[in-house]
Amino acid sequence: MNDFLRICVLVVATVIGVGGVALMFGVEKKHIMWGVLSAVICCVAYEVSLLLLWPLFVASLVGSAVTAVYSYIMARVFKIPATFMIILGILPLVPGARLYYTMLGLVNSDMDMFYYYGQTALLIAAGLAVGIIAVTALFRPINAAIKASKKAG
Amino acid sequence: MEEQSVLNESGTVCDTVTPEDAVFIALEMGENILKCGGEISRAEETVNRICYAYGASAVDVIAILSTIIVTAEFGGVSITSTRRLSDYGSNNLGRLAKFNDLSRKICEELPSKAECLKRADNIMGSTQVSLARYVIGSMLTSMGFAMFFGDFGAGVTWGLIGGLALDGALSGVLALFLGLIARYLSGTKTNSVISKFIICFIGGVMAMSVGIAIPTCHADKIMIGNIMNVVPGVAMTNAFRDMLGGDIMSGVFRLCSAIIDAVAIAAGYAVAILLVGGIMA
Repeated sequence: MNDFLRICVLVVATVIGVGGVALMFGVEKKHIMWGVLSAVICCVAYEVSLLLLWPLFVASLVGSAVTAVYSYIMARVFKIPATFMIILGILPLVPGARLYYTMLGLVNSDMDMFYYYGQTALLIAAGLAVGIIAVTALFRPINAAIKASKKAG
Repeated sequence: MEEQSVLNESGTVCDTVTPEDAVFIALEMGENILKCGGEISRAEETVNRICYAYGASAVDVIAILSTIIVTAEFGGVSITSTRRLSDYGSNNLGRLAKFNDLSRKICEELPSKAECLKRADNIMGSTQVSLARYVIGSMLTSMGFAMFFGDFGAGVTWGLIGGLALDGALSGVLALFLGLIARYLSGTKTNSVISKFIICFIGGVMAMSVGIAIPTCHADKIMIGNIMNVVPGVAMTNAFRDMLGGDIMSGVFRLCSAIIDAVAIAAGYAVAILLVGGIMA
């Protein structure tokens, strides 16, 4: 129950935070809701993966992969680059705070902090990237096949 | 390309566009896409498509964050052109979507160079993020992420939610000032690393001061909320994407840029913490 409540609070925080980023990044109003939904999906997928005790790399890979699938589907619906849905979607996971703590450890010569947050930041960033690349590789031939069938038809 | 297009006297498939114009248009679109935060592969693909659409028989393009180089062959004549990018750090996703759409239309309609530049200028004008929107977005970002990174260790209680809301609200208020400072500094073309250091130093001093004035809040969570406006987390993830996608040079470029920004951010906050801590001591 506590985990469920925690995820609910995280979802609310995600909606507010990613909504703000969407405004800063000039996203059109009609697309903001879908971009925020992308981030909520990513956040929930990541948290559920952690609850299943999957490693950090796998959890971030799952989060970004699920977001990328959603983004590519919505990109076909709205005819906009999937990139922006993906960027908004992965925002809750991007290792911003971890990167800050890593560099703070370096600046303060706290090597334990530097190594701990540095490795988690790299693991998460790598997991995010692999998830996106894997789904992109999957969707490229599908998109090409759809375009080819439209041209033939 | 499967078949050679029939070229007219201008050297392209379009009467009003010369091969030099076609390459210029392609580079212009590629540059705009990179400046908005588009991926390297998208910029290269755009340059490719536009050149082929205007009748090129062979196109070779390479892009990194700071440069695009293209060689296109029209009717046996090779043209090489380079574009040096000085401003590539921003993310304007609304603008990216519009430039992507414009590139598609250019390939379909083959407009003149003047028409392309006019449409590009219209997009630049219509997608500028206003100060009010930027500042409100900055406040919401800080508010949301200050709550997101809250400490859930003791379980979710009303006290925790109240604490998160307080940290979020304070982070949002500070983000109002930091957002105005950030816009001012970007308007003066201040070096990006120095800008981030200044913003984070001021943010750190304000957060520490608020933490002292209001003991029930958490200064570190307030700072994290503000940091999310400047931290290069997206840049770092895109760096890995570029490297995994085969653009090693661009990926390393982005990663180095992200690390330098992160050091500037950490240094700004560290100096603020030392200064305020030292004064209080």
